[in-house]
Amino acid sequence: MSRRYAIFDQAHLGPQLDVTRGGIVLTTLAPGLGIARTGRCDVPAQDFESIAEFVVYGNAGTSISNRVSIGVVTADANLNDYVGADEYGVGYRLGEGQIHHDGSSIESATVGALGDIVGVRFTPVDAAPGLLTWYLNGAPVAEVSLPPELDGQPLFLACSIGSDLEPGDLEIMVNSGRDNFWFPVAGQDAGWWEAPVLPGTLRFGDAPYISGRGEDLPYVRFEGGITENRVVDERGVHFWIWGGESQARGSAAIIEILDSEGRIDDALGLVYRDQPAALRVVDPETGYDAGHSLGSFIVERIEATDSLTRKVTLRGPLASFEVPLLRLAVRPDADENAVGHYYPALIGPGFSCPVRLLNQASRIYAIDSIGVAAVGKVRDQGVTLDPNAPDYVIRNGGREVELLSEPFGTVTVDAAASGGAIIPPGSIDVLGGEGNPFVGVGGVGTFPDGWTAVTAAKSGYEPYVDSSGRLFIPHPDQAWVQVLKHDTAVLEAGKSYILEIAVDDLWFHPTASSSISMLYAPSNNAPYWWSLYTALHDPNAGVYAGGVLYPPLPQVLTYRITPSANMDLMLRWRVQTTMLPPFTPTTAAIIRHIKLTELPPPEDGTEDELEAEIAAAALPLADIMAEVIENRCGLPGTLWNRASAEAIDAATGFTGQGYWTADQVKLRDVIDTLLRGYMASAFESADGRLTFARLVDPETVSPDGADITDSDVLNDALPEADEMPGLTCSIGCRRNEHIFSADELGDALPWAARPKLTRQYRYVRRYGGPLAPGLEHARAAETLDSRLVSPADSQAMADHVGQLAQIPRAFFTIRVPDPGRWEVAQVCRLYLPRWFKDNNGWRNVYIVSITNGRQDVGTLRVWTRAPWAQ
Amino acid sequence: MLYGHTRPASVWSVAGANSPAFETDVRLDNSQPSEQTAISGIASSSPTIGEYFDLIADWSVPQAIGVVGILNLSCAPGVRIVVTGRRLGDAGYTRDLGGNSDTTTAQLADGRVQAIILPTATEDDYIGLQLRIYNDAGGVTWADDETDLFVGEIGIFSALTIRKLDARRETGRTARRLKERAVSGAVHLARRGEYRSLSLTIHGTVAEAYTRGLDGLDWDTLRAIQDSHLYRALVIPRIHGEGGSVDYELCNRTALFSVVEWGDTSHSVGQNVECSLSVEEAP
Repeated sequence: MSRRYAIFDQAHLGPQLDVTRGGIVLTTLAPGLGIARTGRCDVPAQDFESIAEFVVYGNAGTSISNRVSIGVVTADANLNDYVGADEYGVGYRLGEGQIHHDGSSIESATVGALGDIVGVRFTPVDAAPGLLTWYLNGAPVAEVSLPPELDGQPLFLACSIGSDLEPGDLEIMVNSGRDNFWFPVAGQDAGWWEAPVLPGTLRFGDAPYISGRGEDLPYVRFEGGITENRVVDERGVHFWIWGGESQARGSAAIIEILDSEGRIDDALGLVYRDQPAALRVVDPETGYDAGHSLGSFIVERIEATDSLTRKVTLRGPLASFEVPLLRLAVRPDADENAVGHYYPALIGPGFSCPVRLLNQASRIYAIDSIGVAAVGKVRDQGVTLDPNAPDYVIRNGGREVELLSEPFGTVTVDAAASGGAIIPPGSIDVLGGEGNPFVGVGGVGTFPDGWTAVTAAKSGYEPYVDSSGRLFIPHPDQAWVQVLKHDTAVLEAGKSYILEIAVDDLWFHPTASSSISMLYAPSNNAPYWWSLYTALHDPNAGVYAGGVLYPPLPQVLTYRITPSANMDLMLRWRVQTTMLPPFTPTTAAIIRHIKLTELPPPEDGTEDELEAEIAAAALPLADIMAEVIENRCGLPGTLWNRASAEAIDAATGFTGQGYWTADQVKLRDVIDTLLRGYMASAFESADGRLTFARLVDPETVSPDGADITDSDVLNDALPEADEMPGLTCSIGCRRNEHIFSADELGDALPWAARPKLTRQYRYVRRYGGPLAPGLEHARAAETLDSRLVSPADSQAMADHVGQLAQIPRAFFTIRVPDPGRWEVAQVCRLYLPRWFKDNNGWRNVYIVSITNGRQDVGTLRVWTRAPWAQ
Repeated sequence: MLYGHTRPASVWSVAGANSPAFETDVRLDNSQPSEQTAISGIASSSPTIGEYFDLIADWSVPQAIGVVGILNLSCAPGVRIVVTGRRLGDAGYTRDLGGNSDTTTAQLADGRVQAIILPTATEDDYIGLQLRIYNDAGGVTWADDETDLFVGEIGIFSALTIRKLDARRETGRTARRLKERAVSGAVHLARRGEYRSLSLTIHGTVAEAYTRGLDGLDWDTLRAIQDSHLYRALVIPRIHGEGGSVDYELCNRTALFSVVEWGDTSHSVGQNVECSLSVEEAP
C-alpha cells in the first residue's frame, strides 16, 4: 500500500538548517551553532501508533551537549528555538538526558552520545492525551503524557541540531519506517506515515446489491454494472524444467464496469494503486456474509476505456510480494562508499558469504540485517581465521564482524541466521576453563575444582588455589612426586591441540631440580611425554612440540600436540631434596593457568564439524518462507498458505535451505529461488493466498481433484509434447556465495581445500538414469541453481527430476464449464479415450494452470504421461 | 399504447408510526430499478394489517400523473398500496387519483414484484405523491419491526396515448444465457440477466409527428427527450382487455420501464406518417 513516510520538511526549517539526501538528513550550514533551531518533519502522527528512529552522528569528538533535541512539535512551535523550548513541543535533549517542554525539563532520561539511535514513539490513548516514549538504542529512556497544548493537534517529528567546528559536523538522519529499524521496538511494520486520501471504498457487483441489516456491514450498497461475468484471470504453476525466468505466474483480474453516471470518476488513474481488493460470490438470498471469497487482490489501476466503461485492473497476491528484501540501511556514519547500501540478508545457513565493508579503519563488516545466530568459518583469502586468537569478533547482535587485523583479501563467512541470538562457536577449551583460572572446590586455599589428585601430596603440602586463581604447589622440603588428573579432558587420537601453560614460579636447582610433566599413565613413575624441566620428546606419543623454551620464569609456554592414542590430561610435579644452596624453598611451583584448545583439523575439502554444524541450521521450506515473508519483509501470514509448504517438507523430507544476498532483490524472486530446489512453484490459490505445490508424476499419487469426464470437455483436446527446455540432471547444493578465484586464495590454504571454495557449489549431485527421447539436452545443461544445503537432498532432488523426465510427457488444454470445480496443482482423472487408450480412456493428470477459473467456462492446462508413451 | 414520458424531479421522504427510515442513499428515481433503496421501520413488533408507512415524493414543477410504476420490490405479491396525490395549494396528499390507485403488488413472469398504477385523474398541477404501503398482504401481515423493504424504482410519469398502432408487433425476451455443449453432447448453461423488448410501428398525423398534436407533444419531441442518459419511458402496449375495460393485470405484466429507440418517420399518403419504435426494458 502506498505510504508517505515522514521526512524533514524543507519548508519548515529553523535558521542555518538544511536537509540532504532527499529530506532524510538534517544538517547545519554554519559552524558554532547552538541548539536554538528546529527542523520539522512533514507527516503528522495518525490515529495509530507512530514511531520513527533518528541516527545522531557526526565527526568524532564533536560534543552533543546543548546541541541536540529530538521529539515532536505542533505546527505552532517556534522553529527559531529548540524542540521543547516552547509550549508547542516536547524534546529529548540527548546531551543532557532530559525531556524538555516549555523550556524546562519535565522528565529525566539517559544521557546519550554521538552515534546513538533515538526512537520516538507516539501512542494514542482513548479519551486521554497520548503517550510519547523515547528510546535510546532500543531501550526506553522516558515516557510522558502529551502536554495539553499538543493534545489533539497534528504532531510532527522534529529535531534540533547545532554544530561545532564546521557546518554539518553533527547530523541527524530520520527513518520513519521506509527502511528497517535498528531497534524495532514496535515491530518492523510500524512507522510514522500517512496513507493517501481516498474517495472511499468502491463496491461493485454484476447486479446491484445492498447488504442486509444483519450483516457485519449492514446496508452497504454495491453498485451494479460489472458487465457479464468478465473476471478474467490466469492462475498456474511453472516449474524450472519448463524454462523461463519466473516460476510463479501472477494472476490478475480485469473487471469492466459500466458507469454511465460517472460515480467513480474520482477513482480513475492510480488513485487506488496498491489498495486491497476482494472478489466475492454472494447469493442475495443468503446474504453477503454467507458468500465465499474468490481471492484477494490489489488494485493496479482504474481506467476509462470508453465514455461508459471503466476497466479495473487488479493484481493477484503475487503482486504483494514484489517488495524489497534488503531493508536495513547502512548507517550514515559508515564509510562513504558503504552509505546508501543495505545490509546483506542471510536466512538459514550461507557459505562463503562475502561481507560488506562498513568501516575500513575499524575493519567492521556487515553480515546480516537481523544478526547471525551461528558463525562457522570466517575466511580471509580463503584461509580460516581463528576465533580463539581471536582474529575476529562478532558485533552488534550478530549483524557485523570486526577483524582484529587488516585482511589480505576477500573476507567471507560461513554463518547461519534465523533471527535468533548468537550461539558462540563451540567450547574452545577442552578443560572447560578449569585451570583458567583455577577455582578451589572450597574457595581460596583449597584443592582445584575439576582436578583429582591421583597420588597424594605430603600431608600438609597439598596443592591449593590462591587468591589470584593460580595453582600453588608447596615444596615439602623433601623429594616428592604427585600426579594430578583433569576429570574430563581427553586428547583424542589424531586431533591436534594447543596446550598453553603459564608458570609464574618453579624452583630450579642444577642438581636437584623440580619439574612439571605430562604423563601417559596415572602413576608416579609413568613415562612422561613432556616436562617443563627436561623437555623430552617421545616420538611414540606423537608429540610434535614446537620446541621448548627453557625458563627464565615466569613464562607462558604453548605446544601443539597431536596424540596418536587417546590420552587423559595428567600433570605431574616432582621435587628433590637438597642441602646445597639455595636453600630449600617453600614453593615448588606456581601455575598461573593451563588450557588445552582443540584445533580444527587441517582443511582437506571434506565437511568438518563446523561446516556440518552450520549446514544443520538449514531451514525447511515452511520455516524459510515464514522467515523471508513475515519476518524479513513484514507481510502478514494471511497472504500465504504455510500448510502447503509444510506438505512439501513432509513429502520430500529435505533438511532445508539457506539464502544469502547482498544485492537488492524482490521477495517474489527470493520465493522463486527457494522453490526451485524442491521442484516446487508458487501459485495463487482460489482462496487468494500464495500457495506452493510440487510437481509430481500424477500417476504415482492418488487423485485429489474431481474427475474430468467427457461431459466436462468442451473442446477436442490435443496432446502437446513437453520438451522440458530448462531440464538439467545436475543439482547443486551448498552454494558458495563468493567463488574464490585461484589467485585470490592465500598460500596457507591447503590444496585439498581449494576446489571446495573455487566452485559455485560445494556439492553437486546428478541423475544418471535414462531420459525420455528428446530430453538428452539435460545432460549438458548447467547445474540447477538451488539453495539446498544437504548433498543427500540434492541427490533426492536429482532422482525426482529423473523420475519426471524418463517418461515422455505432454500437455493437454481443455475447455471446461464451471472451472471453479478444480484447483491448480491438483491431480485428477481425465477421460480422453481418443488419446488414453490404456486404462479405458482414463489417466491421472496434473493441473498446471487454470485460465478464467472464475468464469462460466474456463481452460485447464494439464500435464501427464504422453499418449505416445503407452 | 400508453406512453409515460416525463418524470418530475422528486425529493423523497418516508413517514409512518414506526419511524421508517432510508438505510441507504435514495435511488428511487435514478432510472435503475435494479438499484434498490433500503427502508427500515416499516412495521411494528406486533404487526397488524392496518399498519402502513408512507413513501412521499415532492416536486416543484406541477405536472400530471398519468402512470406510476413501483418496480422491483422486495415484498411478496399481494401487498396493498394506496397512491394519493397532492395538487398545488393542497395541504396534504389527499387527492384520490382514481383508477387502480388502491391496488396490490403483482408478480412478473420472472418473479419480479411490482405495481403499475394507472390513475384516472387528469389534472396537470400535481406537486406530490404519496404511496401508502400497508402491512397487509391479502389479509395477513407481511412485515414486522425486523423487516426491511427494498424498492427499486418509483417512476411517476405524465403519459399520453398513442392510438394507432400497426396490428403487427413483436414482443420478446432476450436469450443472453451462455450455452455450451461438451464432447459428449452434455449441455451447460450459464445464466445472464435477461430483459424484455417490444418492437412495433405507430401511425399518426403530421401534427402528431411535428406540431404538438399529442397533448402538446409530438414524435419529434418524444424522440429528442431520449437523449438524456437517464431517460426512461414507461410503455404499456395494451391497456384494455377483452371486454373493453382496463385490464390492470395485463398492464402490470406488459408494462416496460424502458429505453425507446425511435426509428425514422416515414411519410405516406396525405397527412399520414408512421414510425417504428424499438422498446427495450431497463430492469
